[in-house]
Amino acid sequence: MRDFRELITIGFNNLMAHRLRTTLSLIGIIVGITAIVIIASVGEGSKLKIRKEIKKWGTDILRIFPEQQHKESFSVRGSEMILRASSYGSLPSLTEKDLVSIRRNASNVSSVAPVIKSSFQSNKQNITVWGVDKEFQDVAGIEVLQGRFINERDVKMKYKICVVEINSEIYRFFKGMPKIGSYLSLNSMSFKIVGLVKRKTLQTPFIDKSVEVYIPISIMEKGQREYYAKVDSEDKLSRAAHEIESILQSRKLGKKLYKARSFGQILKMQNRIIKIVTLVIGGIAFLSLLVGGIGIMNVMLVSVGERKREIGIRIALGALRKDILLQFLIEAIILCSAGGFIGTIVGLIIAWVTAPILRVPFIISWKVAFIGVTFSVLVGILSGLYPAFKASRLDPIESLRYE
Amino acid sequence: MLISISNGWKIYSKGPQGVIALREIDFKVKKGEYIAITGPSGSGKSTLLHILGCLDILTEGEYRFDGKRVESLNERALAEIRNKRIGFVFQFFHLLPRVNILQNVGVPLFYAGERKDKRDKLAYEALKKVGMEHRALHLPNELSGGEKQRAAIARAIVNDPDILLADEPTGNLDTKTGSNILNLFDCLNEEGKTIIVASHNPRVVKRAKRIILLQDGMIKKR
Repeated sequence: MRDFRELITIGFNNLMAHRLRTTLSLIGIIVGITAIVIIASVGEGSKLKIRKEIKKWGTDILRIFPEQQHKESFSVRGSEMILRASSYGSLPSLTEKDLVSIRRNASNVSSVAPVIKSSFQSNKQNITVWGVDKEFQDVAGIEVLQGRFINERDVKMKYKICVVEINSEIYRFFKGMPKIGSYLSLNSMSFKIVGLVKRKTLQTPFIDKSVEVYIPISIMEKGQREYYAKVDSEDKLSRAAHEIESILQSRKLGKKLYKARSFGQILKMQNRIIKIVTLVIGGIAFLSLLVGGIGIMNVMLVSVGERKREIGIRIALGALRKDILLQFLIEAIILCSAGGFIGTIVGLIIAWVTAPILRVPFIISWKVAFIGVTFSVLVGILSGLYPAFKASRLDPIESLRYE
Repeated sequence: MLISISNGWKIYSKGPQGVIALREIDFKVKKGEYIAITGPSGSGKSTLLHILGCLDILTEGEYRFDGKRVESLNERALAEIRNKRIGFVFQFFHLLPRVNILQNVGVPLFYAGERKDKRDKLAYEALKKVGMEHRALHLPNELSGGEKQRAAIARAIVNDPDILLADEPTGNLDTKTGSNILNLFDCLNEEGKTIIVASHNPRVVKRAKRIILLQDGMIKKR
């Protein structure tokens, strides 16, 4: 076994003897690895963001929606997924009897809540008004901090009361903490604040900054009803979805008009699209890496041609053909690894700079670093193998005569 | 017998008939001999030297090195002979340009699997033997022709081989420097090293104790 450190030193010295050539051939690898690292990093960031959004929404919640409206209910704009609440279709809303039937018969469902949601702007502030009933408290994991939540009587009597969610936006909107008993004006209607709450789940995905207000659902006259069901546990999601769909099918004369899906399932479809896009862009980046690899192969072939005499000398002094092969292979690997290292650093810097623009979290994962290093070493081996093999097969006598 | 070639032929398969470089070579070398192989250009001196140095093999006939039939040895065994039993000295020195003299001299030790500290120690001793220790950390292009050849000799003897093969060792040196190199060969021979020099320079040839004259690939005079 030869001294690898020595082989690396020899390789490094040979590369440094042709600095310009080495630098130029490095650029191809740097560009390829940079592109791959950016894609991997942004991809990882997107996945993390989606995972977070699923958690914010709630992993044990099902959304019930008309069958044919399913694909239109979410859209992708830029890097964000926007929930389009306005795209519900012509199917009639579920009746109170439908909901009661689900509550009674779906054994894996703990509560079902209808929601009518309306968003608008007031003083440059996004405001979301949720028309809900008492069931929503359980479905959305509402924690009452002060006062109370909406009850059955509020809905029945259409009381003009509201409950305000405490979040970062609220202080700016109310210029301080809102007070129980004070009034809030929404669309020229005045609502008495009866409670301050915190919500654990059903956070609107990818939208953070909004003032969230809950009012009795009976007051909301316009707007499409959405239905959310809380399932006993996460692992019963698909069983519960099946139960809900069957109950609704039997109530709608055997017609399968409604679907129940978790937000995670819906996002999975979007995730698949992101994966395909990542693969396509990744493929293009891989092509650029391939071109870089061909550049390295070219440089190594030139190097073998120039160093024929050195090869002859080494064989005359006792080198085996595999020693010559290893020497040239190590040189190609050093070249590509250096390109890979620089490319990984540059890629991570670019990913760090672009992450806020793309609204994905920046993460330095071992996976990304591993991809960068592995790909560069792999390209080094593949591009160095043929020149190294060629060098190892040279005739030592011919090589010694080489001028 | 250190070296023995019997009825050795070397034919290069160039053209329809091939080129005969060596024919009917019968040649024996004992340990400690000092032999000059001479003859005009194209007579087969270098080819014979390459075969003796296990860089090439005979097309026909038999070459035995220390009793082992070279034609039957594998690549590893041949490389080991070149590395440990034979030292090469070339006309154009053939030092590696990008490493210093100490590292150049240490190359055979590297392929012998020695560690760096031992390599440096032995290489320095070899350089001392040829009076070149003061140039150990210089690059080859900082040395004169004579110094380069001394360094090349140090590299040839660093593994303490049985035999030194030199191909026109003074061909690229002036008379005085060439004479110094030949003096070095004399010393090494006196220490027991077997030396075989290929040259058409009479000054080099007359230093040897035995002369082989090659003509058209055949030995004409011993």
